[in-house]
Amino acid sequence: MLADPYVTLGVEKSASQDEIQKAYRRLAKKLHPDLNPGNRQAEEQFKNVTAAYDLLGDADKRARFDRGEIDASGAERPAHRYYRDFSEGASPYSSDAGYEDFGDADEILAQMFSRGGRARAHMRGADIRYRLELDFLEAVNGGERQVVLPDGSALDVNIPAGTREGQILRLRGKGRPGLGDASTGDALIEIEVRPHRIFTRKGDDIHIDLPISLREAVLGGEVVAPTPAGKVMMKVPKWTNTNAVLRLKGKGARRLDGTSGDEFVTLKIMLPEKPDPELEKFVAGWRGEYSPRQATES
Amino acid sequence: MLSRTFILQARIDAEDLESWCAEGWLLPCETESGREFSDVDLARAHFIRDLLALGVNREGVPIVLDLVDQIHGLRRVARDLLDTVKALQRERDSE
Repeated sequence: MLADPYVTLGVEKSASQDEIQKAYRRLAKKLHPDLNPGNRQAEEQFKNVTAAYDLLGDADKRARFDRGEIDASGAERPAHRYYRDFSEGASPYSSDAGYEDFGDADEILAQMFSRGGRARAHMRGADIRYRLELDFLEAVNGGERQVVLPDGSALDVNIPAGTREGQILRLRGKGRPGLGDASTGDALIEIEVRPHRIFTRKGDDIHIDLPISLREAVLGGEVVAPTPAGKVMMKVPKWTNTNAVLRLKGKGARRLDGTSGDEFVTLKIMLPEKPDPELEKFVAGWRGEYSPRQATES
Repeated sequence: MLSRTFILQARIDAEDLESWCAEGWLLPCETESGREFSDVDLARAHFIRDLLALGVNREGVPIVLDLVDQIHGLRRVARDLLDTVKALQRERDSE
């Protein structure tokens, strides 16, 4: 559950855009990680404040949020590294001003600066994070995808079968280069899965609704059922009702241990779309005494 | 990275980049194939962009940058001093 952006910024729901901007600036000035080099918590707090402002600072997005059309996560920013993260290494911006008035300490400090610069020249490269949106079937069946990074280079990503929403794929050594002899960072790819028109997924199982005709329901028969891997023939037993669930073993998503989940097919009896005089005549002649509403009527 | 990539990643426009370099707020390496920017330059550009968005004006930016650079320098000295003191303490304890 994400925090309420109004609470994060400390403003009323009725606050004007101007008040929201003021609240954001007040907090951001206090919390910006580069203005708080020694405060590790500042980064997390600043991220929350910025995300809240991304949402509420834009009158359009704010209105959509108020109407409940988007949630607070709609405003997440791509991660970036703060300037303070580089303060350890040697950089053209390093400043050794500020202690000249220490007098004879000067030499010792100068020594430290040069030693510090050398000793800290090795730093593991940063991990980079991406989001990758997959089609439902692509996630279930797996495959290869190419991701184009912001700097224009392409990365081949192998999507394992059975990949889930929110799963993070780690590509070793595909992040930023390290400094000196240190190793390269990793690329972390967070997976989002687009919903499918007919399939839904619960854990490793796939669920679908499958319409059948009155004739198939009463007399039974073979019907074609779609699965993520393709169509299969499925036997519908005689006298099958709406909401009967049939299980197709092993036709769900692949698990890490190599086994697979199942597909559950919920059957729905459908009458023909256009009135069928023959069927009407037949049912009129049927003297069925059964009432399906016994439970609701008593 | 080259200027074009840098502009995209820092989410600034070419004009900003020109003036920030001219003011000396960014110090990229000049190479034969043009200006070459590092990750430090990128992080600094993000910082400058944030400062401007927070309402710091153009005269204020170099002042903040200079003070922040000094703080980093002083923090580094403070850490090295502490390390040295700790090492001396250990040396004395083992004697």
